[in-house]
Amino acid sequence: MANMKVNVCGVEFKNPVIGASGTFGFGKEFQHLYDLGKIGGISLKGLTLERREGNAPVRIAETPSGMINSVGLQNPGAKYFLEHDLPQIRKFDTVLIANINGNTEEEYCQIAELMSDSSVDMLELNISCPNVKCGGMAFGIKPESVYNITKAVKPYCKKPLIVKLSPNVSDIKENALAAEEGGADALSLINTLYGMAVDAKTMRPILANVKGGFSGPAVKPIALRMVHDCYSVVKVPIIGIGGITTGLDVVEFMLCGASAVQVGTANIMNPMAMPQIIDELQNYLTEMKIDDINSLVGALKI
Amino acid sequence: MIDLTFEIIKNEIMASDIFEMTLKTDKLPADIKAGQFANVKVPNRTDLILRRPFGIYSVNFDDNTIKLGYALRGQGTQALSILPAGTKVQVLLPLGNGFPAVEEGKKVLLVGGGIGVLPLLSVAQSFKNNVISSCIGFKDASLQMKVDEFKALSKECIVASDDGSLGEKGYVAQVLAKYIDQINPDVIFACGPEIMLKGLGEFAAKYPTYVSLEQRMGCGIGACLVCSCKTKKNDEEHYARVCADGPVFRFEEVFYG
Repeated sequence: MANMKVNVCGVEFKNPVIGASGTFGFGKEFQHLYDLGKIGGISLKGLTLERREGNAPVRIAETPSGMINSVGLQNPGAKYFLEHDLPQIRKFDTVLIANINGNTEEEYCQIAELMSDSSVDMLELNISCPNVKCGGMAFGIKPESVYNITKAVKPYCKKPLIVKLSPNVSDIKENALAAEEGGADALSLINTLYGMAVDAKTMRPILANVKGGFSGPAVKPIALRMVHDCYSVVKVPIIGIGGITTGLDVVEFMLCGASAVQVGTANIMNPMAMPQIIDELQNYLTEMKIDDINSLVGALKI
Repeated sequence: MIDLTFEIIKNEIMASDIFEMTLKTDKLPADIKAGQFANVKVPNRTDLILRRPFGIYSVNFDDNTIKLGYALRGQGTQALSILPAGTKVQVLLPLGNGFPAVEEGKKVLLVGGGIGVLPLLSVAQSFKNNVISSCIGFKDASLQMKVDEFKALSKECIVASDDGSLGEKGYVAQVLAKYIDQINPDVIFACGPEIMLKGLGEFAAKYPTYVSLEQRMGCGIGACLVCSCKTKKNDEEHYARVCADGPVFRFEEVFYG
């Protein structure tokens, strides 16, 4: 069997397939379907210091080969998570990444500190959520604000810090460099594209929040291009995200420079997506006679 | 819950724009309860990425078949409606909480409107130790479904239609008002359009009432948090997940204020 282990800024994953934040809850819902110890890691549902109710429904719209969501970071709050959810999910042998959010720089720092003192393995700074009024994407658009928030949060992180980048920017390379300069240990990209769906018959937007985050197989070409762009300019490892539904999709992202990937919408399409993707990935390596998955990273032939 | 491959045995029109699909698998999970639902992948359509949630209204453990009913609402249901027998479909089930168990001998009143009568049929079929009454309504006679089944399974069955072309003329709540005292149920289970459910307030004030809700859904298992509905419990409002906390809720939890 080929080696599937990858190492992202000092954290070892048994394979490069990680559940993407917001599509995998705190993992619990999937434990009845398969052994969570099979997957590389879980980027947990986005957390804020205080409980958040999220946006009014309707929160989801299907679009061709994609979907738009406007959940709005509904979560029980960091303290509740640490007391009630983390102990349950920690027992699984998989890397846990806390996806952290705030309305202000101070809140980001506080939650980074709180999560650093917990048993999670890594932090993912979410400065790219399009569904919240304050914070979220506002911190992630301009390279200087990416730099500032990363630099501000970094001293509070006793765990490796991943910065999750927004695709809704003029040049993602600049933002990637800004995050790296600010102290990011790794980057994850892309978060959802800012999109909209309209019902011609009712003449209304489908989402109550009007606009939302567009994801799914339809966004994969954009995500691949952006991973490729960022890989050409940064030294820190990249976690590729965007429309992955098969093992071959993972390979494509790794060839473009991703050291690992996150699987998001595919979990919603098919709850067995991640174990299936991992099996497909293993089969690909066997068929291609590749003995170490790490040899794929950035190996795109141009 | 488990994700299983099923084969379509039958897929046919049941009422105007409403279809029923009979699906067979090798071994059905044993724990399917009345009022639970299944999340169905539309086969061979990579553009339609989300599964479609349909109530499981009939289960047969002897031949490992289930029946799902669905209304033509959009591209997904349209695509499903033309699938021939023999087609394989991927189905995640059973999902949601289903209707609560009721003590033996107690009287259960089923109140349904339109396609919402189907999940209630599963109650009528499986709550064998309860006395079942039903009040089911349709827009008009062309949209009626399973009326004979409800009549056969209920001690009394009241049928209504908005235009009077079937049974009594009037909305379900209006028609039911005439009979409710006589039925005097121990519990009411309801499913139907939101406007119909909201109209059950006066009955819910007197009898414990449970309603089964619909919402646009994602994963179906409670992870993605898109199918929310606002609920109130112990004076606290919060968004519940229709797929995992529901689809069955206490009336006063979801219709208040």
